[in-house]
Amino acid sequence: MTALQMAAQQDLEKIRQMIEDITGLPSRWSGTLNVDPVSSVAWGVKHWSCNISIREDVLRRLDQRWTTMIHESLHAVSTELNLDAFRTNRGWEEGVIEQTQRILRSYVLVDLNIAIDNARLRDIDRLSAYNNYIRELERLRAHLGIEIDKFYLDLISIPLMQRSQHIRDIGEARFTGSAARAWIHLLEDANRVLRSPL
Amino acid sequence: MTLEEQRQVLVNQMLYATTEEEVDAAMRAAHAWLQKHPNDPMILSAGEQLVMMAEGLKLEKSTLHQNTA
Repeated sequence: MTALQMAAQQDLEKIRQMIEDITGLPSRWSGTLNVDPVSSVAWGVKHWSCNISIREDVLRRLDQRWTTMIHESLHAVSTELNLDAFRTNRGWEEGVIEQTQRILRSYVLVDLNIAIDNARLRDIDRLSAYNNYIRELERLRAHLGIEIDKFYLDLISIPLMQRSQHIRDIGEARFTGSAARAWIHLLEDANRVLRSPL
Repeated sequence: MTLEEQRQVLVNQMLYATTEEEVDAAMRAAHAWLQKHPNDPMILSAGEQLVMMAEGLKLEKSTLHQNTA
């Protein structure tokens, strides 16, 4: 094991503990971190084997190293993340995980005594492929008027297959008449982005 | 199409690939794009989802083979 891999694995272990404490959810991470070559098409991946892979160049960059490790660690606690659920609910997984990463990272980084320029973190956020998912989730959250931390930490604890229905139920309990119809229209609109066609 | 539009088409191809053929095509397109634009953050963030689908489909296929062997 290289020094880079060993250091990253130790950091990932610290993050695992913090994510478990914050979310109250058990991590399924296997404890193995693979260092991917720069030819990989992904910054990082939480595999179905529950190993985590992160590209070597990402691990060498102070800013992206941490955001990627937190993101992948959150997949490891995401409830009932399986292929069937993922295939049709990718935005309900990736959007929720990425936005939760943005919410939690300040707590995690302060606790680990890591200082990263906020402007640099916002640059990374701005260039994420998951921003369309987050935009739709934020429209739903704003309509329901739920506090940001509660909305995402609640969703991550709900089985992936049931997240859309869970949010639908909250709106249906809250709105009646034309407001209820507007809510369903908004949710269906969001699901055109958050869910994948079969 | 502008470069930005081409990138968005590829991102959508990567995010919504569902069948083995779609995933393979998206993977080839992503590799080709990264040859020309290494470290493109939007493509490399979408890559995570594509790798998860690719691995999931392979696992599903091998389980199916085991169950039917």
